[in-house]
Amino acid sequence: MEDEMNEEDIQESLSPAFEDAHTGNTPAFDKVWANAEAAYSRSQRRYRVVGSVAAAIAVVGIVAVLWPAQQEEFSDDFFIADALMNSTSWSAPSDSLMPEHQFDIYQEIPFPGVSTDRKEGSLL
Amino acid sequence: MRDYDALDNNPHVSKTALEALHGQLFGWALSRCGYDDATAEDLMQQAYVELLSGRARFDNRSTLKTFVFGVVQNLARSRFRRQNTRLRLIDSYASEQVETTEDEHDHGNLKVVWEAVESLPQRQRDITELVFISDMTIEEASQVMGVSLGTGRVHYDRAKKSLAEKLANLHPTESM
Repeated sequence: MEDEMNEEDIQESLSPAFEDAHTGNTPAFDKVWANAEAAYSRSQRRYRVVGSVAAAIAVVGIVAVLWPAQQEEFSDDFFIADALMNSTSWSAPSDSLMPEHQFDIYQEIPFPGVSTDRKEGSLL
Repeated sequence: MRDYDALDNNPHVSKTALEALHGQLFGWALSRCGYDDATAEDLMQQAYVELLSGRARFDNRSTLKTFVFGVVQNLARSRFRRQNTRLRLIDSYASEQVETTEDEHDHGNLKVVWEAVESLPQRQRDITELVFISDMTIEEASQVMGVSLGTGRVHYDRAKKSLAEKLANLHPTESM
């Protein structure tokens, strides 16, 4: 009866095969490390650039959204004030409700029982 | 205590410690990508970037070797997960390369060993390499593979049994 291979035998068989597959091509640590550091700093720089661009776009966006509203508000105020300042006459909105009389009812129409005789320009 | 050359974003990892593991790690990276040198080097570089950036952060819960092997394993897995076509190509390339390697050596045993290893299911192949080649314990190998210790033991036992059967002819055993 044959003994089964033990772990040492298996390891002994496998090692040369794996070593053969791995032979001689291991890149120098310093080279791989330097490439990794360069790649890392590149990605850091890229993150910074992307972050700055995103922040700038956000600022421009916020300004673009807020500016017209502010501008509109300002111009409304300005134009209302300007119109008021420049107006030579002002009429109340309710004026349109009043009938347009061509005479002064207080001056022209006497109260009942009051004399219409004038003395020195005034009603007696 | 913090090593003098500890990484800024990974205070428990030093450049010196990584350098000491570099050769073994490259072997592991090679086997993760079908023994393609350039891809393995790229994988190593990516693993070092993960460590430099702190995205892969070592917190002393395992050995550094286990941790770094795990980083390479996870990177390889995520890189090739969505590249099944490419993986198949690499697999075919790997088998071609094994044959080339065999041609270069008139060592017939290597062919038998490689065939035995290649015939194992992936998980069994992984644990075989980690335990027999990278000198890890089954527990460490299980951590690298991301499986439980019990599952790792099952893979290990099956791989060992399968290899023992296939490689028996290479080791003339003593008769009782």
